[in-house]
Amino acid sequence: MKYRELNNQEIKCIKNILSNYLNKEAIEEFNFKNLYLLHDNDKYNVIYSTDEVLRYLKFFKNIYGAGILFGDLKKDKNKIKFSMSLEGMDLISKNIVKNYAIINKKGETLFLYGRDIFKSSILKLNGTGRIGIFNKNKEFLGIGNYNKGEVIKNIIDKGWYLRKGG
Amino acid sequence: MEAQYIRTNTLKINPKKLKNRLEDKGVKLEDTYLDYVFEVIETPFSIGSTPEYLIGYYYLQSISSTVPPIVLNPSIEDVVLDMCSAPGGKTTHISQLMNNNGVLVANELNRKRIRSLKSNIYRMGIKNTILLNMDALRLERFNIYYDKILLDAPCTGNPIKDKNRAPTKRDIKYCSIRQKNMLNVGIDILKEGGEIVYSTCSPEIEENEEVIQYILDTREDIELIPLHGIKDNLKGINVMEGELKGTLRILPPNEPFFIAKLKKLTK
Ligand SMILES: C[S@@+](CC[C@H](N)C(=O)[O-])C[C@H]1O[C@@H](n2cnc3c(N)ncnc32)[C@H](O)[C@@H]1O
Repeated sequence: MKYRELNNQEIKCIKNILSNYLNKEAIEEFNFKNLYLLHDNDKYNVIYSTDEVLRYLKFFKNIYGAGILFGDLKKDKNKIKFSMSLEGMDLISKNIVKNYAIINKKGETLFLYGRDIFKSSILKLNGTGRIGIFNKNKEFLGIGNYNKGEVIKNIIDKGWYLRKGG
Repeated sequence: MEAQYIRTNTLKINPKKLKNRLEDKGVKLEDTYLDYVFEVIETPFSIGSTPEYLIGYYYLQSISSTVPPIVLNPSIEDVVLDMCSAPGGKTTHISQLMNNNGVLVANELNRKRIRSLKSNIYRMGIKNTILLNMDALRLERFNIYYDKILLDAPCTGNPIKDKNRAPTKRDIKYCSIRQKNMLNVGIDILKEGGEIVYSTCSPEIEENEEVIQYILDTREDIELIPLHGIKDNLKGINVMEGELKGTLRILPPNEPFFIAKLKKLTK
């Protein structure tokens, strides 16, 4: 993949998504300079890495990856859309204050098997749409989708590493 | 069955805390020569699929495979290369020793295996890597030189890992030649004064001592760093000196491993 720095429009778009989960101070403290864009044809991966690693990218021609995947940008004509990855959400998880749910042990076990979360397993729920899912210790488990009603749909959970990661 | 060990991901959790947490769930753990690695004596469930594992608190591996990164001993400022990385047991260990700092270039040729490398890196929250997907023999083409290199070379394996292992003389010869070529490339892209650790999990002399001897015989810019000093630190592991003085051999009941360390001389 090729790589470059993010432009202002892209950063703004990412900030927008972050503001769904973080308060102002946390967004201000976030190191946007540690984000980089890796791209291949129409694939745009936003990665998060260290200053040192980003400085060293220039030595290589075609890299497979760097740091962790923070999310994907989708470009459609002039519009861009950012969606945060499992690892991106994990990275900011300590600072998430909005749009999250805390679930019980049973819910955790099922969720990590890729299942949805039922109301009876939800200990706390804040917000709607794409929300961060945590266990009782406030450890991040994955991303769900909640639109009122009885269940939080599983979008992606950390069981993925076992089921698909290989 | 081979003993199982968990290496705490100290980037994410304190080893004592992890130990207590797993013990509360009925897992019996025993200490090892590293205060963040534990032997799994007994477990009521599969230790490779717990929430703690998925959250990235530990990596499952043999105790022998923890030794090459320890021998490599990277610092947090180093630029390090792992020539053959997947599935990443040693890559993630090295990154942990670097405290997620410096630069760790992790290469792997096999497209399928590099996916599991990436998955392990993501799971464990490793941020200091650059991943390359290429033949290690071609790593020379970049204009970059490394402080430390690990060559955990592809080899014919061992009977503990693979009960049906039956390499032919030709297989061993093939691996041996490739290993010599890879080690030569590694040394070429090592900084002067830099160090390279060579390891395999094969018991064959042709893939181990012979490879190192060949390098020492054919290159003038390299010297062997004897490892007997480290031997005493590897408590609980069945380790002895290799046929070549200064190299290490880990023997059953531990997973067989060969480890040697070389230093590139300044001109
Ligand atoms: C012994 S395994 C590495 C194990 C790894 N270091 C770990 O600790 O998890 C050797 C790896 O080398 C890879 N490999 C084989 N030929 C290669 C080549 N020419 N260049 C780079 N990698 C290669 C294999 O696919 C395999 O994943």
